[in-house]
Amino acid sequence: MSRVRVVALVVGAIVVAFGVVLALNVDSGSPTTDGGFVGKRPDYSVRTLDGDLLASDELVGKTVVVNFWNTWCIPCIDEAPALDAFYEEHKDDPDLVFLGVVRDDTESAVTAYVTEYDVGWQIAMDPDSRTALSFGVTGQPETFVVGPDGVVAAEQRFRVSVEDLEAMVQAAGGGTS
Amino acid sequence: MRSALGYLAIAVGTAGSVLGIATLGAGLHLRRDSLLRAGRRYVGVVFVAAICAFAIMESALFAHDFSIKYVAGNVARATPGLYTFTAAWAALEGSILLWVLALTGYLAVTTWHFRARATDPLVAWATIVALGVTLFFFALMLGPANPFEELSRVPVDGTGPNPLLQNHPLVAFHPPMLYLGYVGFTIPFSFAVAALITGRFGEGWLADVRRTTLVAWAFLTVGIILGAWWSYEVLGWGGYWGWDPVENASLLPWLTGTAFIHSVMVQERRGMLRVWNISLVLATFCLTILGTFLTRSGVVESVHSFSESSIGPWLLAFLGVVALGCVALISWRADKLRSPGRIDSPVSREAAFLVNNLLFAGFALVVLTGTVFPLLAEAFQDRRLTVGEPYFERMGVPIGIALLFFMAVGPLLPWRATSGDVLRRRLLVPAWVGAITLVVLVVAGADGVAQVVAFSLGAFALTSIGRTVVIGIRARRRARAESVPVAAVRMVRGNTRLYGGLIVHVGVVLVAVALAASQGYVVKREVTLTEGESATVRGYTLTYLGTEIDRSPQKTTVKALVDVEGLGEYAPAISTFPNSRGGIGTPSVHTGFREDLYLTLISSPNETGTVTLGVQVNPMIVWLWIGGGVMVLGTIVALIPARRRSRVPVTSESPESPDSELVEAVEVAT
Amino acid sequence: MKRWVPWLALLAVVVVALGVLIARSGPSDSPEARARRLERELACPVCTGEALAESNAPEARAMKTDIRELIADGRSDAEITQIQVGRYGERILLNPEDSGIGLVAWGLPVVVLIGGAAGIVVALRRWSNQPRLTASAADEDVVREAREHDDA
Repeated sequence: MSRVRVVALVVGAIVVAFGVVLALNVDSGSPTTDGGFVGKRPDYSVRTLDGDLLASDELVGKTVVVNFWNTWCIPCIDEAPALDAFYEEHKDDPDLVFLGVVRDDTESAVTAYVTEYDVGWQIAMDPDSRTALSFGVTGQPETFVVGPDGVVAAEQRFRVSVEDLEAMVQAAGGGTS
Repeated sequence: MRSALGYLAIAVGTAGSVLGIATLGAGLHLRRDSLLRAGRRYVGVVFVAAICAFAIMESALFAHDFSIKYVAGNVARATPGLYTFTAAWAALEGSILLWVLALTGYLAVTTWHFRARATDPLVAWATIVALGVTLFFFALMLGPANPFEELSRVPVDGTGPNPLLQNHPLVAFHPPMLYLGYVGFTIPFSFAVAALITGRFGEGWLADVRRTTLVAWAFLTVGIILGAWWSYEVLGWGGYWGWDPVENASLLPWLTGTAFIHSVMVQERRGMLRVWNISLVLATFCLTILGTFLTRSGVVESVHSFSESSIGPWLLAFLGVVALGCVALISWRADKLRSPGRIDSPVSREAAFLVNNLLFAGFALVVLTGTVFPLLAEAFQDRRLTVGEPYFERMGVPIGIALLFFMAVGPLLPWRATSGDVLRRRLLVPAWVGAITLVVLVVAGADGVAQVVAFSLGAFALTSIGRTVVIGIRARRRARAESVPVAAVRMVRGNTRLYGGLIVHVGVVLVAVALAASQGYVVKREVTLTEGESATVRGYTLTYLGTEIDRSPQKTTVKALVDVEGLGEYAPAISTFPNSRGGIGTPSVHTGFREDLYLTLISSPNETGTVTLGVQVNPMIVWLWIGGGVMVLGTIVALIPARRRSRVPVTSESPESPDSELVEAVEVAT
Repeated sequence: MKRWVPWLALLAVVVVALGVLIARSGPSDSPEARARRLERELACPVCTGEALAESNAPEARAMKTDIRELIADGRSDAEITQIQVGRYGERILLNPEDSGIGLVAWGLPVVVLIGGAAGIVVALRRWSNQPRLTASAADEDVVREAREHDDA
């Protein structure tokens, strides 16, 4: 075999190995079930726009989907139909709680948005960012699923699809499809 | 409406690429010239499609059509016109659109240039390959990276561009120049693949792609220099290169591209280094795709990273197919790729170019290893590691010094072989100038080994370039009565490649000197001043005069007014933008030929009215920009067609020749 | 031999000057120089890949002050580095380590460059050992005949 061919094949092997290393690192975009905030126990207490009080210790036993968002972030707007579809599917499930927490926005803008787009699930403001802090949130949209044991089972630090939400809820072992 | 039209343009581009490939492929297979001619028309179709898609995007941006997700994410109503225009390439999908526009543009020009050779299989295959790449990028926009994707809910206002992208007009130049550089290398790549497929890997394809390679290289150089300038003048951290993965991604193809430009000369003269040259071109293109992958897939953390997207796996798959395809082609043609000829002597220009190739490849390997190492660590040991400047400097500086040395010596070495006399005559004086520079600097008390050695080698290189020019002018004036300037101009016009290259080398020396001085001898201080108070740093007396606040819908800027004695008033600032956290600092810079005075505002005035300023003195930075400009000037000169007189072949030198200088001048000129 | 004199003189001058330069340019051990060196080898904890030396973030400034205090306390460079790693993890180091997987980063380019250089030397030697084409007696005859034919 000519020397050039030998070198070419060696280079080919290196390219394949290199590709494997890169592929192992590529984020496939699916939710995280280990690492990040998963396994931690968030401690929060919020008042929804309707006046109800939701607190983490009182929600133990239920699967809680917590979605951090606001009215002006474009990926939030982008994932809104997915959130709608998921909520429609699961709104009658007594063991599933769906909570939207607003980051970095005004109450008037949020109320207007909720009215215009007929948002069905509970929305709470987070003016002093205490709730965001308890989840380690640094931007939006970020979605967490807390299992019945009160511990975060899955998280996604960018926009979610319906499949992502279903997978996250499955990971928490809660809710019925 | 716009969204549908834009998507239609992209679909037309995709279809056009497919049809072009199919038609040309059929023409080659059936040996039908009419099909080959028809296939070329699809190049025009895809070019027009790209232009339309880009124009529709711009119109959507200016019309604030927030039903389109890309527009909503990248402009706001308050965004000024220039930054609305540049928003077209501010984020991932738009950047792919710009890539496609540049690629189809290059392909259109190339196809027109080779119109007389429409039926040549080499040209046809090259067009097929280039259309294949075009097809990939158009298809990306049909699917995962659709710039015209719509939002189900139309927001009232968009978020506007990232603050870093609306801070300085340079954003209108730096990315497009870079893209014109990256994308340009697709053409030489296509011809190299065509050469392998058709078996015509002699010197023909090299001549075909020479111009495009130089143009692409020039744009890439400009893009990199502009990036460094942006980093320095706009970002305010006081430096111009951070060894950030995205910066490295632009440097990698530049390194292999430069090696290629040099190495082709050996193939043109002696027919040698065929495998090296083909490999360098293929590698350069693969590195541009690797760079695209690294910046858009999120595998490496970078200040440049585009936002989250699913485009990563597709780019990786494309890179894999291309890279393995190149390896397969070379392996297939391995037997025939052996070059005729051999290197006669270790002290010859061919040998110098061979070493040159090794050094550039080594440098590229250093940059690649440093960039990819964190991925290796994460994949195999689950550790998060960083690789920063100390690694690149420790590994790269010795290679840079070696390259400077060969740049000084190489152009003076004759082809094939030489004698001690010739070496002495050509090299001794410039080498002594370098040595004396070294001695003078050491005696003057300079420290820093790399810096002083770089300056000495720079002097060596400039002297050898000067010597070549002087000899050339003298030889002309002996043959005919011309004044010095006229002789100089005519001499350059007689061999634009050589003299253009020498001008580029002068630029490289300036850049090397600037890099050495600004890295080695920078002075950084922080001063905290109350209003009216002064401080002195390195001979500059600064007085804090007070603060000024500018408010506009786009941003709020806090400026600290500082009077620098003898130089006027300077105003480093911090700007805050709505819809994003954190402030963006803007430095205020006084540029001088010897050094820059660089002021930054570290903390805004607090309750007690004191302000903390960063003061940096950067030696010789302006020569980095000047050197870059000289490099581009040299490339432009090299692109001018030379006016050649009759060739006088001279291959060796004997001591009896009457005028060895004349002989050397003639050899250099042919 | 006389031809080599100017070259040898050149070499001698360069070696001496370089020697002085290298002796003079050794890394300084003053506290400020040590602090600067550490600042360039550690990353800013809240930035992406920026060195401590280049960052003005509050956490970075706090770390710079901390380093200077630790130097004043008499800690060594290695100890200071370890303390920061303990707080922020390995990603705070801008240099790959000297052992284990770090050897790949430091070693690979060096191995390739040395290997490539060796390859060039071998190739050059092989080429120069190949016999140059020389005319054989039969070739000379052919040429002489052709010339005579021309002259005739």
